[in-house]
Amino acid sequence: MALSFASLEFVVFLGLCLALVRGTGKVSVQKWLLIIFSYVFYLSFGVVGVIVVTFIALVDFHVGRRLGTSTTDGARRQWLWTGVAVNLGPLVFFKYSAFLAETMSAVLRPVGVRVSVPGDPLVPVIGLSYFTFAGISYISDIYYETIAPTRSISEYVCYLVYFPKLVAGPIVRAAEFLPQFRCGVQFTAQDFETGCAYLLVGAVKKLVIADRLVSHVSMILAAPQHYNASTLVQGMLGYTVQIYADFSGYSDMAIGCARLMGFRFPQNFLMPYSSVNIAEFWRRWHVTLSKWFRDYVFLPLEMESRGTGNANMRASRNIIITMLFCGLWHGASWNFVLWGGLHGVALAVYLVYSRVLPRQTHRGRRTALHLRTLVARALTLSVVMVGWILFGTQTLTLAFKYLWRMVTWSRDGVALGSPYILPLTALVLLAHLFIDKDRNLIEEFSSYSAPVRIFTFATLMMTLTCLVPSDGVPFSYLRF
Amino acid sequence: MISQELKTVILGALKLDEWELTDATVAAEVPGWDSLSHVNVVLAVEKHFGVRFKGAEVLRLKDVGDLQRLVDSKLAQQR
Repeated sequence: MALSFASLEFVVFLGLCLALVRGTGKVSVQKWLLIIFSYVFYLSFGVVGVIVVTFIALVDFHVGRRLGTSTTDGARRQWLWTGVAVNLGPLVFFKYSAFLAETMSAVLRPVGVRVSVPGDPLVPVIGLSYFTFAGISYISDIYYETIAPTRSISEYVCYLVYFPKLVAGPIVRAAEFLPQFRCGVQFTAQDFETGCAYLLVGAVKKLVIADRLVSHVSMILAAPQHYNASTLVQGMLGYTVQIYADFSGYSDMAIGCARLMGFRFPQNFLMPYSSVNIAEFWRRWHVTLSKWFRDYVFLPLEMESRGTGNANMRASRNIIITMLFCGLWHGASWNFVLWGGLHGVALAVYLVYSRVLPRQTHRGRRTALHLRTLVARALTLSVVMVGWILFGTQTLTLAFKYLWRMVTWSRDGVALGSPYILPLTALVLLAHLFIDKDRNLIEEFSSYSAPVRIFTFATLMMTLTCLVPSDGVPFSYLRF
Repeated sequence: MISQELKTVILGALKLDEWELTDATVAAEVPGWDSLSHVNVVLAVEKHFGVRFKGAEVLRLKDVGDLQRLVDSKLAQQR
């Protein structure tokens, strides 16, 4: 059975890992312990994934070494593209082959060409999208000469399979992890306290907020034709909060696990629903993924095509292409592609709008309660929420039906009364409104007074003890 | 030490009247300098100084100081 972060079995697993790793001062021993624990963790998700990640680790290491010793531009580009292609191979095979076959079948059927579509779904490889991107970032960073290739294959394997980030990110780059790792696992009391705070906050977000919403929200998203518009709006709000709580909760727990070993992971969610425009949203939502697409897709596209044609048209085209791929990364479905396209178009509109604005004297950020800021936040959140309908429904037909019934305010259908959706939505959105979006209260935690820290820990523990639903739900972002 | 000339070009590309730019300034600290505007800044610098950067060179830039050093090296190659 798969080891979930939000389980007692994982707490025992993590405690054992920490005790053993902390018990030895030798970095080489720590490295092998972390590799063993990471493989045990990943084996709980199935053996296929273990084979795939090991294959990718071996390829990345050797391609990285070749890139590091190649001196000509041509050879370096060849090794770069070889590494990228080999990394993408398993991803395309396991995640996209059925989707590609179905799409080709639909396109070619009218002209009489039959394409066979696999009947049984392939074994899902949990985490494949994440560690594939980690591997591509490693090879690309060597190509761009921002890091040197590692000489130790076990060190690279440890980086790639390190269990806190393996199955659902954050997408941590080798340049961020390896320098820390080479100093060994060592943490201070502050690291321990902060790590525990991240774990508890993440668990509350996932178990208390996200899991409370999932059953009602899933029902509404699965069959919008049965519900009236008011319920559909609630479903949209509920999913907006659920996906944030689930995914940011997971990221918090991953960051917390790593911090317990003294490693600092990058933040992945920075109060995204406080954004005043769509570009800011993408600087705050799934930050490690959006930076990945920025650095390895958008900026290279921009640099290769700069100076050609109209600058706004070129940049708009490149951002839409980037976001279409970002959508596709999330899943093999036209819903995700269209979701990416929606965000790409929104970003392009914002890009053109910001470029035609007149020259401005920067006066500093307005307060969150300023009317223009509130309107900007509401508009941005509205676009994001419409996107979540595309994201959360199973098919395009369901998505359009959902949106149409909301837009036309369909009064027929069931009014589903959920006691959780509106209160939890209010809780999360008010937190986004009143907490400074550039502060990280968890990082500041250890600077608070002892009574405040004790009270906070006690409150979080009691919340988990009293308010966690009895039926556990898997983390939703594991499916990407 | 970044030059006043480079500062003027960067602020012009970002349509900012004024902003303190130092060697250690990173894009995230400057209003309006994000990935969507980054290439505009690069193009403006290339055009003003009459240089051409490689994609990899731009992607390696960490701060304004790196950009200044890149410009200086390109100008030195031209002489």
